Amino acid sequence: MKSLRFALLAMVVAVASGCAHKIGVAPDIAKISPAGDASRIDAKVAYYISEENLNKQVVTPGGGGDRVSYLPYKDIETAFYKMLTNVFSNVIKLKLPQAASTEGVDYILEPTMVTDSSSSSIFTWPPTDFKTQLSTKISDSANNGITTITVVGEGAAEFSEFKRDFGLAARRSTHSALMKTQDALLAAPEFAAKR
Amino acid sequence: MVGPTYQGSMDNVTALQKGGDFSAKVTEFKSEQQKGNENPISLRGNTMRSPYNDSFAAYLTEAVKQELVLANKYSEDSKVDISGELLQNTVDAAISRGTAKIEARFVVTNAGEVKYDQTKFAVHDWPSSFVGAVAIPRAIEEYQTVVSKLLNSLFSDQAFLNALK
Repeated sequence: MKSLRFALLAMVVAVASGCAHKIGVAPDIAKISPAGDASRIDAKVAYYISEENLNKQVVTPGGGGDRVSYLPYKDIETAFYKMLTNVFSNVIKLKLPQAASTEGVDYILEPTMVTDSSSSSIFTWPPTDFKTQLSTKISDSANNGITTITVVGEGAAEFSEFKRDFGLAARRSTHSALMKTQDALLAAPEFAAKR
Repeated sequence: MVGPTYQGSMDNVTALQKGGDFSAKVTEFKSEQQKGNENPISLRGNTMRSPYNDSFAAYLTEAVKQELVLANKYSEDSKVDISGELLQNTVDAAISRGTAKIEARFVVTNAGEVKYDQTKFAVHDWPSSFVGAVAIPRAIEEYQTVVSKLLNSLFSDQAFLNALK
């Protein structure tokens, strides 16, 4: 009876707290590897992620009726930069998009993310499936849009795996999205003159 | 639980890139387990282990190396070597606010001659929770931020950057 009361109390506290479980969605940097047979595009590019996006917290469903929270842009920023260095010969970060003209860059890349998660489990909260839609808007140095590359990365993880890393499905999803973006950038006809 | 791998910070990468013309290699950091220098880290009866050889000294080594690699400043052949010792390493997943503290000694040598020998400290805190299933994963995720802050204090030190040249 005592343990039942404790379990009920714990459940009430968990529900009342209304907190989402924090997970990390950053992929392993070491796995953002260059394409084996492709040479880099000879261009100086800058990426731009607004401060608002870097601080943006997203909440999506987990398992058992719980939710998970994460900072998608902050978490992928370094991996996004690493992916760009695999594609372009020179990559810098822009704090403000207007600064592109003074930095002498050929292109500006700005990512936009849409994420979703779900779980097939009613007993555990970490997501078993995670989806990342990553759109990368490419503009010239005068901020005129050239093209947008959109990819979707999906990640899945089972309990036996994510009991060691609650954000594993998400990390696999963002890794997939970044590697697909890398392939798309290397193949983009817009950069043909710089190859 | 095994903590996530380190994610280099773009602020740190930028600080290294703006630090001038140099390259460096990294020697494995040391660590002596003592009170306040936990390995693994205790979190409300759970433990957090390093993803790098179960060692938080190896975690710090990897963090320094990763930032240098991302900044294109890492070279195995460099005469400049960064080494050191992890002195303090704690995470407290308390009910109201979680706190992580880290302290390390950093030594830079150039062809064996000591050019820099200083200790840096960083603290990081975040909103925590009464519920362990919320507080513990959050604390595990926040650990890398305190390491990043520690390295930011190092990479912002002009004496350190001068020692690398």
